Amino acid sequence: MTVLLIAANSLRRLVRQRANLFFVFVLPLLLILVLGSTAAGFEPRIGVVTGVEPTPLGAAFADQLEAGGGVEVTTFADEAEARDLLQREELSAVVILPEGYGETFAGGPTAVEYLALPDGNGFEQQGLVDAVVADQNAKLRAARLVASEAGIDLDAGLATVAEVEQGVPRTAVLTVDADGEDFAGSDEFGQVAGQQLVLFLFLIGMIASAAIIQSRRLGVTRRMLATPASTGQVLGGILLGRFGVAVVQGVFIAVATSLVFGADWGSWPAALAVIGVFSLVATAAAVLVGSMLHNENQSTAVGMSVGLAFAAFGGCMVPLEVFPDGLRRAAHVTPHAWANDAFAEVVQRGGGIVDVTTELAVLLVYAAGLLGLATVMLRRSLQLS
Amino acid sequence: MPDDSLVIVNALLIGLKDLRQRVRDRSALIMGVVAPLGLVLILDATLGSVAETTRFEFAVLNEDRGELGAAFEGLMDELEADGVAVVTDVTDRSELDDLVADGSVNAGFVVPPSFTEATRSGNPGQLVVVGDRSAPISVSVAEAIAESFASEVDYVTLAVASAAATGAGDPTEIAALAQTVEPPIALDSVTEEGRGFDPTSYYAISLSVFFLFFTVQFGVLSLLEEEEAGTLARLRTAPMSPAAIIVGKLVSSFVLGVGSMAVMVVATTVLMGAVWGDALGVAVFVVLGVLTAVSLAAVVSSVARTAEQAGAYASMAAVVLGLLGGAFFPISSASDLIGAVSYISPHRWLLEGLRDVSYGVPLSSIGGPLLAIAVFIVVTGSVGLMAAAKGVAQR
Repeated sequence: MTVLLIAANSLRRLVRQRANLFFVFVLPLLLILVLGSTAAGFEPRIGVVTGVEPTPLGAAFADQLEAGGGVEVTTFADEAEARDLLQREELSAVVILPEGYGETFAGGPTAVEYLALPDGNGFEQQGLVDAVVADQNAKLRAARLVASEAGIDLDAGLATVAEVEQGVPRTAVLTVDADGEDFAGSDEFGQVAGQQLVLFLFLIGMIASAAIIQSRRLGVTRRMLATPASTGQVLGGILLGRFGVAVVQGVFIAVATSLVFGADWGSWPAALAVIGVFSLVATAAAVLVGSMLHNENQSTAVGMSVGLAFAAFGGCMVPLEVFPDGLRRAAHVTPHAWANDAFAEVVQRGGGIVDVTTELAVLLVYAAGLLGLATVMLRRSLQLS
Repeated sequence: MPDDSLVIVNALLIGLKDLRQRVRDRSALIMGVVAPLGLVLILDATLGSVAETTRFEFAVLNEDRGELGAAFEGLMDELEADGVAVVTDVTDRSELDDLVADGSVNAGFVVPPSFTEATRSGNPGQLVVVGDRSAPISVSVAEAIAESFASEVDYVTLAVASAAATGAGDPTEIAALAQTVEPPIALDSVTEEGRGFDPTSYYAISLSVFFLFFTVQFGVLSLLEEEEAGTLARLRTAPMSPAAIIVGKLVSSFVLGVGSMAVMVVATTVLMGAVWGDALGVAVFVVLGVLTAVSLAAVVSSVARTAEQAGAYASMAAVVLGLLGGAFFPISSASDLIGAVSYISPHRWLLEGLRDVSYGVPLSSIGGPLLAIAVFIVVTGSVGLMAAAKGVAQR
């Protein structure tokens, strides 16, 4: 009962301030928009610099890249323009074909330059570009061979290859998952959405630590402790109120992206369990920070940097799958990495609640540890003041 | 009316007092230097190293006894030797599926039985990639590897068929000759430093700007703190003009902002080798950036009633504009809508300007961001100043 009263009270103090309402409701909406527009067909843009007069092979390069799927391709006459757009982040990668691409192949191999932004999309895009290069290499090599054997020029050779190509059966590549089901339609959104949700649940939670400091500074906490309520009850009350807010936010984001943008969060009980447990970790971390620091200015600074640093290290900015092995193992000291693993299982692999029991258990241990520490720190900070 | 020179002296005194206070409680140090510098270090260590040190984990099931199966294994050995992948050989499909299912490998390749024979007899087979759904990036890399290998395999078939169409040479001879033709195109991936795309400079610039908007809050918002503590009333009774108080607060914000940016520029350059570019260009954007952040904080604090509220509003503005402006991740590539909306964020323009300077673009060609930031400063600055003047006069 005492715990509930304290929780209700801290919630009342929260909603009485308009700025807090923003963090509780508007920021998640903004996130939904960002996440949602990602879900609604996010395609990285690649620029192909073909020169002022694209050679036939150069034009084919852009077409083949586009046909490969998953990227939007724009051709540029001018390298500087493409580079400029890359620097403005309006393109995620640029392929620079040399002048007269495909027409002058004297001497060694012609270098095609590939420039990319340092973000997580790099590998995928480069794979697509690699595949086009391999295909064009095959055609060019065949054309050269034919040209030298039949005593015709390279253009005639290319024309012959282009003609013959249609009738030549090709080696197919089929991608399936471990159950043998078609991999097509693999859900990129799932990965990004899970990561972003983890990042922001924690960050929003950390910002809440300011309120805990304030209630200590104003003496609210001390007065609560002067009542027959124990430290545990007071802490439980503060935690419960904040936890409720975090869970509501998390669920709100998941449901809204699903309803409005058709995002697929996998099994709902499992997704909600992950949201709930991770919210508990975030809230416990906020209570700990709130018990350790002395003023609200510090808590914003610490909350922001700890929140972002854990997010980066825990695989919220670049997915854990591309972390080097040792770093990935090290990353699991953050609760974020476990939450990301859980979302990967639920959202991407379609796992249920039984498939994420390990992750949920680890997160609960984190929450318990943080809370234990927070109780000690809160007691100490109240004795000091 | 007090003497003009006194206004400046008094303003400086107030500014100095504020600075001393911020240095003593260490919040400015945490926000302006420790937090952004620590984050750049962490991001650089994790995200920056990813491109160079990631090894994809693949499994290979080669059921083909011919040369193509062997060639595929050779390709895998090459990838392993190049440090691109770690490859596990397996002997049956269920073992491969299990490895993918439990996440031990990101993707598996299956070269089917009689792949070579089928291909050589004109009925090319099918390469299978078995992918882990929770590792879409690795799977797409595996797909690209398989596609490239398929192109290589098809090339010989294509060469033989093309030669036959021109009536030249004997198929077996052509097939043998085909191996001797070198691939004429090589893909050269340029992501290394010196071209302006290094992650260190990227994060150093993003995070310095992001935290700048928090750091400068201290000075401006302390006006409200002084009011709550009752010290503003006492300042007002002192023989000095209200302008001195406002200017003093602005000065302390400005100094905090410039100071933290200067430390960030020097520290990331010296410690991590970040490239900020031409000193004059950096200085111009740093000063403009600080002015932008100070005027934003002034506007925000004018709508708040308490210091705590003002702090919350200012943080919220910094987070939202930072998010929209691309301080967390490249926003414009996310979607057209968000890309367009991002132009209302001063972060977007500051990052664009600073990145241009870092890429070596001369200041004279960065007119767009300069103009946009100038407009932002003039608008928010005048609103903020008027509000602050009104506030001090009333209180």
